[in-house]
Amino acid sequence: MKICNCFTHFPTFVISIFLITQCSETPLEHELDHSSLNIGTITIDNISAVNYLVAPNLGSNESLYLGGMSDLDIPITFIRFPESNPSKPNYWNFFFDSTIVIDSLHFILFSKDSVIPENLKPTLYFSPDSQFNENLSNYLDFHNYTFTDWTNLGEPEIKVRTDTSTLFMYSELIWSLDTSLMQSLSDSLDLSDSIESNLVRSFAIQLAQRDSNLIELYSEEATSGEKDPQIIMYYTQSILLGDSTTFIDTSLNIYSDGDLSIFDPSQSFLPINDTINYGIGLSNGRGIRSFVSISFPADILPVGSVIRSANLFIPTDSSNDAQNYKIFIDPVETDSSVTDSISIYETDPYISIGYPYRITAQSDSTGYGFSIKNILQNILLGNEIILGFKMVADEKNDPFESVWFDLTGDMIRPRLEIIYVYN
Amino acid sequence: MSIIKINFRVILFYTFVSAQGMMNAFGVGNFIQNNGINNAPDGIADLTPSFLKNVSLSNPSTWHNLNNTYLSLSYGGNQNSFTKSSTLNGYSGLSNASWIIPLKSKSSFGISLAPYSNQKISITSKNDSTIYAFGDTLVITRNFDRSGGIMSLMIGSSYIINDRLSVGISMDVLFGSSRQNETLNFAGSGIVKNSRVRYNGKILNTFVSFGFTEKLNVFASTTIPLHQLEGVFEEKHMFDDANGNGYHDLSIIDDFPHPDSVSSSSEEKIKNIHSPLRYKLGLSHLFNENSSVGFELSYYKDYAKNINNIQLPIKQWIDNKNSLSILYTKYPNNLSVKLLDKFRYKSGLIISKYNLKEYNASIAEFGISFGVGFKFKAVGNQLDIQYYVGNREYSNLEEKELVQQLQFGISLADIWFIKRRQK
Repeated sequence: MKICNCFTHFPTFVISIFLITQCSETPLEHELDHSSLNIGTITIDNISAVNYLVAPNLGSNESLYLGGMSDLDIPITFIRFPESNPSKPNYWNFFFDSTIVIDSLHFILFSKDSVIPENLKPTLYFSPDSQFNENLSNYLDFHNYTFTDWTNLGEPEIKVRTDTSTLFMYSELIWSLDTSLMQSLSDSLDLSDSIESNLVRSFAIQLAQRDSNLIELYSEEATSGEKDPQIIMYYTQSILLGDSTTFIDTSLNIYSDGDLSIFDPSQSFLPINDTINYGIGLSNGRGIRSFVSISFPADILPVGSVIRSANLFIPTDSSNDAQNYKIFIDPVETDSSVTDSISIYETDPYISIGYPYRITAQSDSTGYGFSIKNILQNILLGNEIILGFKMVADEKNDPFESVWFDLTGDMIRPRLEIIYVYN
Repeated sequence: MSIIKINFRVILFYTFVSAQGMMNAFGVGNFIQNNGINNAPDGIADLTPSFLKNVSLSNPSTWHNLNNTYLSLSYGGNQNSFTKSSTLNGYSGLSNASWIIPLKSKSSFGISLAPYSNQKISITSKNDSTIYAFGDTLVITRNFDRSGGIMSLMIGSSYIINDRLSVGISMDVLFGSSRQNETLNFAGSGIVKNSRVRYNGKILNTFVSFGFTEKLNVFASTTIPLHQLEGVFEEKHMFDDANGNGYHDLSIIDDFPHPDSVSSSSEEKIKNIHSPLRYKLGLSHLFNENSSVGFELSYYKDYAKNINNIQLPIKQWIDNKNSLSILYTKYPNNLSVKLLDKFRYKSGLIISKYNLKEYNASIAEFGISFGVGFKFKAVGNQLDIQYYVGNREYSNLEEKELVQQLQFGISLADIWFIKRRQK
């Protein structure tokens, strides 16, 4: 038993010694020339590209357009309003509420232009049906499209807003809607919570006559509500308190949840296959995209290597004048372009992997650089097999701008520069 | 019991996490046999008795001379410093735990647990190098970190042949693991190659004690591998250690490639990475009832063939070693009632010459030790403190390494396995 007592206390004694002894660890310096890790570099310049056309969809662009510019035609712009916000009273059903009197409805669009000529005043239409898909619809869906089934809501009143220094801020295109439209916007089915509404509140704007000029409006992606397409509902609500009734005049802003300008490039198709004269280019307004092939042998890097950097550089044409033009590159895993060989595709025939390999380019005055080490490393690891890369212009770019690349220049060549470490 | 458990974990943790001297970088690490002091009760002696007049805890052929069962624990702190670079490293850990049971003074049985080699080392490259890649000059530094080590579970026994001759045998079961991180640093982060080795092996030790006279005894021992040390080598995929913690993991900045994207490498068994052969000869002479002097000669050679197949911090290991040690011991007087007579005093010196495998390099070591032990209780419990200071001169290094050790030991004696009469 005494031994056990001593043994119990001994570890405490030992820990005390450890605490008294200061432990330190300073790396020793020595030659490490025998290390098996080495750095390698390799440049691949066997890079080619082809253009292809996909019907443009600019659902996430921060502007809405109507009219024409640079031989692009934008005949229609669609706007859609959502169901009521669950956190608020169902404002669409105010029409059925006996305590509420809707005084007026204003449909408002905001424009960046200070002057909107008469010929560019759009006509507003309403339809209770689903008319477009913000992410998929394109001009091919609206060939010879008419508004016969829509309700014509007329032309807007233009109000120019300035700040306190009388400097231009924005213009408002205001349609005073007949309050009877509220009945169409309201959905009696919404009164029953158990049945989902099929009502889609679609609006569209169109110019009375096609024009070579353009108006530019804020889309719902541009701001967080402030300049979104919106309906302002002015109403009076009566509140019964005991024997007396109080009337409150108030308003409500209802913001759109989807909008899309239809870009029709069919009048201005560039001979994109003529890469000698036109080169390789990108334009989201015209739907021009590129497929980039990089040829290298499967065993280009030693097995087990780690890529420190893999920068793909694609030089731009010297005549290129697009400023801050964003593009990205995405590895392609399937390709239906051969079997569906047509002049313009409704949807992109090159199915890409996307996250996490979709890369946005860094640009300078000579071209665009992409860090593609993640996908290259996973190709080396056998995790991914790709056919090439598709290069696409960001949907937020100015749709009337394009960027052109020079893959055949003598001074600056397209190249992939890899720094890797091998064992 | 809970105190024992908690404290034992703490001790074990610090036993494995700390260390470093230049020899830790050699081969499978710094063998504890090459430390000046193996355990506190024996001091620098190995074969010749110094624990008791006729007992060395490191020499099984003397164990049967114990009157009681002993449980002995040693804990030590080490400090290695380099004179020129002012590098100082300190560490502490459990150095030995032994349990020895004499059987009717004719034979004995014992087990012990002790570190066999310490592999903790952190090395940085002496000189930076540069490479030119794609317009950038990359400055390269290298690091090598190794942690872990090999433990030894020793099982031994002794037997008296006649009143002059006794023999002993022990087997060291070697086990443990190490983790190697080789890092190539450039351009802001390091590429790490990580590998692990799991060790196992068995070593057989035989011992002989022969009494020429009552006062003059000769001891000899041989060490041969029963199962040469082998390692199961597993190399992980290299990675870019973006978060700089040495582990292939995910955090705010993920390491590259993603840990889930690489597959585990296969394991490779590497045989014969350590194959020791050791001969030792000892001579002990009692001057009077309470003093003795001991001489020990030893020769060691490592017949390892495949040590290069594991990642070594420094491509170097000990090929052979010769050493001579002399130890003077003054034992306590059991019959005296004076306090000073209950102390045991030891002092000695060691001269060692290590011949290294590569570059015809060698190490000359000269060390001295001092120790005090205190015997208490009738059964012969002992407390020991040992200090060792040694100077190592490396033939291929311009600086010297100063090694200091301080060991604390407690040896508790009792009669075990006796059926006591119940009151």
